[in-house]
Amino acid sequence: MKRRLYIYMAIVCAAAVSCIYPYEVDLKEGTSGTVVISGDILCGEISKFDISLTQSVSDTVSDVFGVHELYVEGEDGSRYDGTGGKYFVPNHQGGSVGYVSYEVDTRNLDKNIRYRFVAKISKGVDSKVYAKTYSTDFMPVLISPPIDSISYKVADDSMSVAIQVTTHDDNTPVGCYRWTYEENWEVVSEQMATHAYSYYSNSVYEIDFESQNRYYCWGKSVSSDFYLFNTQEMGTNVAPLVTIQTLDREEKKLSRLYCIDVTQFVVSEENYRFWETMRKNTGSAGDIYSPQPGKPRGNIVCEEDRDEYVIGAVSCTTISTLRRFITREEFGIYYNSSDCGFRNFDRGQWQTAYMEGYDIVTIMEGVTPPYLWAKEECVDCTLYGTKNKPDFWPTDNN
Amino acid sequence: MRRCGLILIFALLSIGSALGQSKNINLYRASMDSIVNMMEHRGYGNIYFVEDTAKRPRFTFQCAEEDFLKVVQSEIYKAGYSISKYGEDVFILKGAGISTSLPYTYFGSKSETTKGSNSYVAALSQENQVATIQQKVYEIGRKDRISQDPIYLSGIVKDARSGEPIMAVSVYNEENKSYASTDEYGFYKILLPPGLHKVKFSGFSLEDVALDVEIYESGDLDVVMSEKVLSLKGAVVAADVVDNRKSNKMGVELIRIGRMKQVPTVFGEADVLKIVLTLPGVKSVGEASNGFNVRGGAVDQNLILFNEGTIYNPSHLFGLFSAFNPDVVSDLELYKSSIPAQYGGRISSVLEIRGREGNSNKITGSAGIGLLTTHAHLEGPLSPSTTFIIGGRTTYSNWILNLLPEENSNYANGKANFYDLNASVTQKIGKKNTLSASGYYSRDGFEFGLDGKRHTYNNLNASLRWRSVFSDEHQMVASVGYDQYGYNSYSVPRDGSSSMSQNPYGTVMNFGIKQGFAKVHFQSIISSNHKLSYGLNTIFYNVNPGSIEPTCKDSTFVIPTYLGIEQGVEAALYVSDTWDITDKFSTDLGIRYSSFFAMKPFKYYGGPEFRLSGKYLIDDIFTVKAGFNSMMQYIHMLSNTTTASPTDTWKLSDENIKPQSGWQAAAALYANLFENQVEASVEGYYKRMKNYLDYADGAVLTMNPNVSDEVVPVFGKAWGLEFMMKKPLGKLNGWISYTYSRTHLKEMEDRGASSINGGAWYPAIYDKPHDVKFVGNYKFTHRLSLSMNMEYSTGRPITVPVSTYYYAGAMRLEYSDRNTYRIPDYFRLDAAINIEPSHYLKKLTHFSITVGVYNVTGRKNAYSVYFDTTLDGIAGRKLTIYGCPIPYVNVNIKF
Repeated sequence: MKRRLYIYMAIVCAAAVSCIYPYEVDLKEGTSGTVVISGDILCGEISKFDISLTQSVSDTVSDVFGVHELYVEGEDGSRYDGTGGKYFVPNHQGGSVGYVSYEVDTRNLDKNIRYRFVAKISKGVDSKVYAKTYSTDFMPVLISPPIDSISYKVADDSMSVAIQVTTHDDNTPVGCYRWTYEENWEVVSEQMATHAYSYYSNSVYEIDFESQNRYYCWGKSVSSDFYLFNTQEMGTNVAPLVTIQTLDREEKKLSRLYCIDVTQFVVSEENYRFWETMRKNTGSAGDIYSPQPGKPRGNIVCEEDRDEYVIGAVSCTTISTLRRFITREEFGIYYNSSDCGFRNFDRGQWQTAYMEGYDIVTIMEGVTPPYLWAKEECVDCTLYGTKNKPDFWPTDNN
Repeated sequence: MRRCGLILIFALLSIGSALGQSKNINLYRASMDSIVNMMEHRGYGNIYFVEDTAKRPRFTFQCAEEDFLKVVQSEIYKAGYSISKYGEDVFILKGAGISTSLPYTYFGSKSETTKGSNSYVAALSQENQVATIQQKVYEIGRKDRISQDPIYLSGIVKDARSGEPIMAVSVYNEENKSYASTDEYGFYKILLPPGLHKVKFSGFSLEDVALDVEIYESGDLDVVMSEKVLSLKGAVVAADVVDNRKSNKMGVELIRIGRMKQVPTVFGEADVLKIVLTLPGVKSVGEASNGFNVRGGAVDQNLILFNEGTIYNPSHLFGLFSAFNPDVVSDLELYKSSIPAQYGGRISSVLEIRGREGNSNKITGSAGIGLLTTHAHLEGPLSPSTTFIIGGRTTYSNWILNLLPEENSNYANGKANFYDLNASVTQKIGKKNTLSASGYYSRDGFEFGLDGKRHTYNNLNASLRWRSVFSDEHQMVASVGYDQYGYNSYSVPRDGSSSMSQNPYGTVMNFGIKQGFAKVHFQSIISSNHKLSYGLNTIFYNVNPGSIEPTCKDSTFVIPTYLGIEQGVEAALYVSDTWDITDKFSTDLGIRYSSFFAMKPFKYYGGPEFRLSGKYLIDDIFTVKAGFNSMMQYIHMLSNTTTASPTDTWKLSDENIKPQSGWQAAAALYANLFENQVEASVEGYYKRMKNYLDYADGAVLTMNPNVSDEVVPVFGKAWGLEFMMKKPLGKLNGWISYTYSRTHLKEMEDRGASSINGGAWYPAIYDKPHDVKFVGNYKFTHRLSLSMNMEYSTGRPITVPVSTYYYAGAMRLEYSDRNTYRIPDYFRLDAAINIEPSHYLKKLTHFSITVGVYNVTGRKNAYSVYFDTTLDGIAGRKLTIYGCPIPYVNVNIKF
């Protein structure tokens, strides 16, 4: 018998072979002027609607538009007008697009009748004469079941933790769910500073810990990605352990006390597709098997020109909320990679040390020089949050 | 070299008188043929001999019957020949006897030969004896009995080493402009006028054989061809230069796998499909993509056949590898334009991959440890008429996922693995029947990160083939088989404790295609001008479009859901005639009538498909060809991802989804330049498709009972020009090609505002207009050669943001019409140096080294470009699969 032995050897780049690189693209041919309507009819709550126009990637100035009427209308003829109409120009990621925000008092809607959304918007000019009507069909009120639980799952390698939400509804066979959340967290510095440093006077002074400490801080953020689940895949109306947030073990959110407030919406099947397209457009679009971006289409139409493309999906739903606190010990994975050891600087070195990112911690007699400094990220929690403690926060720290 | 049955025909006549005598044998000027035949009749074993044609010995002696063998040996020695025995075989050679310690495989195949029928010409060794053969005149038939019927020379061409038949060897006789080529069983048949002719046999990287054949009646002549001892590893050329003159077909590419294992490839792993991508007119969307696009066709419009079975997913590991083990593959043939009438069911191309039969001489095998894969194979004879080959590959390389970028957290903590298995047994029953059974199974599994999703997919094929040669004019190939493709997607939310089988929320989504097929194909030679092919194909489909089941039997949260099985039967009848109208003008005229019966609810589709092509030999240099093809397709892949994904589903045509259909018209001009050293060609095509399924924006394609609402039927049009220069032989060999091609799609129905790009024509995602490919080898010395591979193409189309807007608490991107921008152009250069330090045949171990670099320039080619919003506005990002030069050393040791 003749045998052959093939030996293959390869020397592969030590670094990752596949990479993601920045890519400059000249997006000159932008388009603008598509009506964008964001918001839902929240039965039992104050509903909030934001109206704007898309802004071309090649422009910096928004097109002019006007919102001349905005209301929620019941099948029984009831009408709930929007109030506010304030113009905001938020400085968000991706530039700034002005939008007009309305609130509609929908706290007393009847869950047994159908409602629709209507807005009269003029594009290019702020004149009611040119306004067109953008509306949905009448929709039944979807009832959001209570959220069963908020749980967390530490990754097998303990490098991260996933926050998961579980819900179910015995009353309807299939459900499409959407969640948003607000996170609050208390962060503490690695070093508890008793003193502070003034650069201009090159001096160190003792602080009033209760009012001036940079040891306790609070951070806050709101979700901006899309967290969706369609129970079609389960056969029953249960959305189990849907991951809505993943936190790395080095995130300050895990450093002391973490709180998440989850809001659950029910979405009609028609609108679910809109949200799913939004999610695909926003998510990891560059993966090997990524879906290709598309145009999200919701349930809003322009009555005068039904072919006009409108961005937005208005559902009529009740909401459910649930809050959960989770401590650093419960997570059990928080890791601070900064070197937070002390450095001793005498007065002549203070300004240089401060400019290099050091901050005073305390003065300890018996050490020469007695001024103990550490990296500012180990001393100053305001780098990661603010001193604004949420009203509902359970700890007594200030 | 092989037994000399050919000469037997004449020998029988010339020794008739000798046999008539009972006790004594009187021979007068008897030829060697007569002597050999008499020896065989007296149980001397299997005799092989090579005669000195310059001086043919004549034997005159008289002896008693019982002394015959003794006397004849003495006479043979006296005539300057030697007799050597090796096992049961006897070799009569001019001069000294052969050393029986030479590798046995140098003695050609050991197949059975029926006395008095077919004959073999066998090569003794690769260097001298081939030349000896070529000095011999092979006589077929008797001069005094010149046949009035057309005279055919036919036979089988085999590999000298393994005894396996060699396909696509050109057989030609220049003075009569007669051409033929061997089929997949190595069988050829060439028309010759009576008389003495030079018949040439040539195939890429095989030693040319030119035989003097004196023919007066139809007869058989088997030929053993040997690989060029000093052939350049890595040479990549399809059919040889005369191929374009003999066939009426256009756009057919043949690749022999064994000859191109050392083409520079990523990580140095030989790959069947990556070679296909070096051909003009074949494209893919990126370096990690499943499948390929042929002349503007979609991935699902290629029929991929492996030993007759249909392969639905030809890729492993996200398309980084093809699913075919090169150890067990013999060759592959890609039909881009002229698709023979026997194939159908896809509208773009046919890729036929043929497995090897296995060495018919002895048990042999290989085992290899690669950077990414481990593979082994074993082959050999089970009996003199039975051969087998088995092979397998697996990977242990979860680390491949670590090469993918972590920024896309989907791949973090990912795992991936695959294996594939092949087995094939071939049984020859007599000279005229061959039975073979083949099986193939491949399985992939991968999972990504924290989302708890795990996917597996598998191909399974089993087939049985029977080839029967009824007569010189008629033969048949019949096959039956079973194919399966399916995947499972497990979704098991991590709840911190329970395993998959206990997790009450765990689901598994299953998808599967099962099909059984039966085919029968006949070939008949009706007259010297007409060769007829006809047959019947049927496929029974059973498609599970999706089902959801709990992974935990007791789950109360997951209720099994089934979308319902789809079933259908595809049947086709076809007939095709190769008609040589004049010496210069010939045509292939084919028609195939295909039918599809969708069940539950019943729906019938069907229609004729035309396969027409013709060639005209303008002069000794130029050949012009033209053709027209129409095709139907009854099964569709539903996909909305950049590249076909293993979790894409397939759907049969039904009352809502019509069959895809398409036609292609093509014309080509070929020129054989520099005494057939260089082939230049230009091929142009125009192609139309309809009812191809593109996805609607936001399509939900899995577990959707109304999936026909998520896809939109589109028209397609594709056109292109392919220029190619091919130099198969010489110090510098290889090819260079340039292709200009476009593919555009357009919705068939007006869906108003929802129409893709407003109902206008838009480029398909694989529309890459300019494409330059170069594959070449340069042989510095016998021991050192350089291989290079170069590819340039226009970037593929993408959809980019055109505006921003504020929605649900953040800035969002609005995207342009579909596929209106392009990613940067693609360029890649690979190079490899092949070193063969030793050519000594007698050395125990032989090794060769290939040192290569994939992507020499380290160009960071974009696989995809996508966009994020940042504080500074919109940030573009590109994903690169192989963004740096990847060097490799490949040591190949045989012993």
